[in-house]
Amino acid sequence: MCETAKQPEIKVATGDRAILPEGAKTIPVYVMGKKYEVPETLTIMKAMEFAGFKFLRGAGCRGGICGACPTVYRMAGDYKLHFGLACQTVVQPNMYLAQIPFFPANRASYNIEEMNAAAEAIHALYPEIFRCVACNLCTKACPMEVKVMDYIAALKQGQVEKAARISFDCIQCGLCASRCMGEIPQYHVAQLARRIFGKYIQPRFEHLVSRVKEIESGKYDPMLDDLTKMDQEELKKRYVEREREPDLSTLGEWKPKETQYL
Amino acid sequence: MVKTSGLKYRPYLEHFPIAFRSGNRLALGVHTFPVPHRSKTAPGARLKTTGLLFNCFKEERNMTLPINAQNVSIVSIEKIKKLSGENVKLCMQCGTCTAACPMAEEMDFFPRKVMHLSQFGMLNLMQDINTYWKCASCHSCSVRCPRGIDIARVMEALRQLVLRTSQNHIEPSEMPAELIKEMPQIAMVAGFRKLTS
Amino acid sequence: MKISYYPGCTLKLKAKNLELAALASLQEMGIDVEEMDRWNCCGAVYSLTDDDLIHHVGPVRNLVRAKERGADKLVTLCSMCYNTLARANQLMKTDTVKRDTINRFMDDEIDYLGEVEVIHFLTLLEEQVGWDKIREMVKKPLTGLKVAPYYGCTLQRPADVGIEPMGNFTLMTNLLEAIGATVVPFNAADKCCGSYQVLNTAAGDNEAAANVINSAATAGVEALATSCPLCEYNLGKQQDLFLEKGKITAGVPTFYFTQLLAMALGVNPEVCHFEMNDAKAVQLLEAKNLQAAV
Repeated sequence: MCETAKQPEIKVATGDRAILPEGAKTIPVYVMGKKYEVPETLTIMKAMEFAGFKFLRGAGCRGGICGACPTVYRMAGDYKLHFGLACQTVVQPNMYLAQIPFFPANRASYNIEEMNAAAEAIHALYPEIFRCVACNLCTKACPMEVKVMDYIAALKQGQVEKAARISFDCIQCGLCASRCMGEIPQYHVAQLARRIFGKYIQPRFEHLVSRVKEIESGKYDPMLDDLTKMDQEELKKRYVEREREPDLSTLGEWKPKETQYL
Repeated sequence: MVKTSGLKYRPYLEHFPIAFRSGNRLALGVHTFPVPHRSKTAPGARLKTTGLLFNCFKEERNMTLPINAQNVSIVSIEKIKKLSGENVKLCMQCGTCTAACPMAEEMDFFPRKVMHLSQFGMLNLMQDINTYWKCASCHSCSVRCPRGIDIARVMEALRQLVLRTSQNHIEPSEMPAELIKEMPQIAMVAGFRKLTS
Repeated sequence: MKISYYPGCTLKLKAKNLELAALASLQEMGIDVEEMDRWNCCGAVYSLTDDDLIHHVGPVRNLVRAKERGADKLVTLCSMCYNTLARANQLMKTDTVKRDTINRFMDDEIDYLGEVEVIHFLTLLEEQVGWDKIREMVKKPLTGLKVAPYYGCTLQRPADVGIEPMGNFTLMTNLLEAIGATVVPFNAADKCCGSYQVLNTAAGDNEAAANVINSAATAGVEALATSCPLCEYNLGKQQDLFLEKGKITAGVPTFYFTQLLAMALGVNPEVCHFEMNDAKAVQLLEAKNLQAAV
């Protein structure tokens, strides 16, 4: 007499609810004040989707770089505010969440072609930067750890390049603007500073300009023709035998042996 | 009950205040006659009344101030005190603040008068005047006040009472770009701190 | 003795001439000051309401920076910055309740308890150099230049932060005399120039500033020496408008006192950036043969 082992009952997913494996731990989080039990290792975004929310706005790259999913949260019983991106922040028990996919921020109209390197142009477009009280709430709200107060201070002093460099990691999520006492749209101001820096202040890369000219003059056309006419064997041989500058070589020291293409 | 002329002011008339008794109530009335506009020079008559001293200096806008339970606002005096930390009741109306003030010529009411109105908590009468908006916070008044009142703080309190209702006195977004570009930054920083909410 | 130097936003842009002349002068005199790192705007004016603490955070943060660098003193040039920082410092020294609240709010900074002393550049010159020594170092005395010190409001009021007792102008007078100029006193040396009211007044209508210039002209002053970019703007840059509108009868060129000092110490005039002053300022120096190359 053989008894077939009883197959475990297979649960079929219906609708849009995920099925948790046996013994999976859930934790409570509160979305807009209402409690949901979600698996503990999920990000806020996935946890909300697990709970049944569908992101029509407020989700983007899901990789921490587009700035679409800024989130404010508190932990139960604690007054402190915390800020983060929903796609990057892992849920913790008793998180009270709110999504801020958009916060109104004044953006000045300007024509970048008509501007110049002077900081005064930025002052005139965004006079509200003079309302900064150095409270530092913007820096505390930034999910990318950008020193927001510092770049606003730099702009007040007229240091466009410094502001451009400090604000480099900004993903324009808007959390800084949501916290600002002076009602400054920090990320718009920073973007203007970076644009002006890139266009009017940063030195041009002359070697790039000359390389583009060389390409357009047809200097590399014969080489490309040669390559397109080669068969696969020859291409492979050429590829394997190619000369390549070593990774950590000092600038200007290494020269290839084959110089006819330089 | 004696009728008073109420809270109207007539800029081209000089008002001599008269206090008189009716029953057991003290009230202020008014005796009016016309004078030329803009006479800021000679002080007007000082009337000693039955226990109530009321100076009337000829200023651009003269007015009657009925001082009774309806117009004196203890709450407003407290508000000013709380914000400024100053006891405006100490003011003896000597007018030194007005004499010291570099912006006085541009003010609707002189600082002395604003102190007087503050002593009665008459914030409603100070709603449309420019005095505390024209104040440059230079502290010339504060360092000279013989009563030791920091009048600059009183002016700041009067500004904040308006600004804290989310009203800006000047609007940063409406400032001409050329002006912003040529002024030193401290002008904007200071101006926005004092004149915007 | 470590001294932190706080420039303030304006000295980096609109009042570059004030700063560059000052730093060049310090170099000539062998004084070492270190510009603070990561400083922010001080707020320019001191908040006067009893319950307002947030507007003190700006200046206090700068005092924290000075403390972090181990500085005993913080020196500044701009009169408005001086006033704001000094008063904020007073607050942190004397009002323990507000001090604790401000320190607690700034949970991203170390606590500040009033450890740093805030001084003005003129006080620095007196303390670290001395007028006699400056006189010895002068290479090109400003002989024949009739200058009046113009303190404005913020260097002297209120009394507990004034760089010297009210009504006294000895610090700048001593400096100007040490560099060979003739000091002409006038009675509006501490009268307000109008300050930030320039935002609230039609162009060229600043009565307060016009009164100062008239007072100076009446007293025979040829040039005004100031320490504040806003005074320089209200008095200096608006003069043409005042003349146009008939508010003043004659213009009186304005300089920053550091520009005059730098010139007298023989610093290259280009450092003083006289092109940022009014054209009349340069003309005056040339007329007096004081050789300002623009």
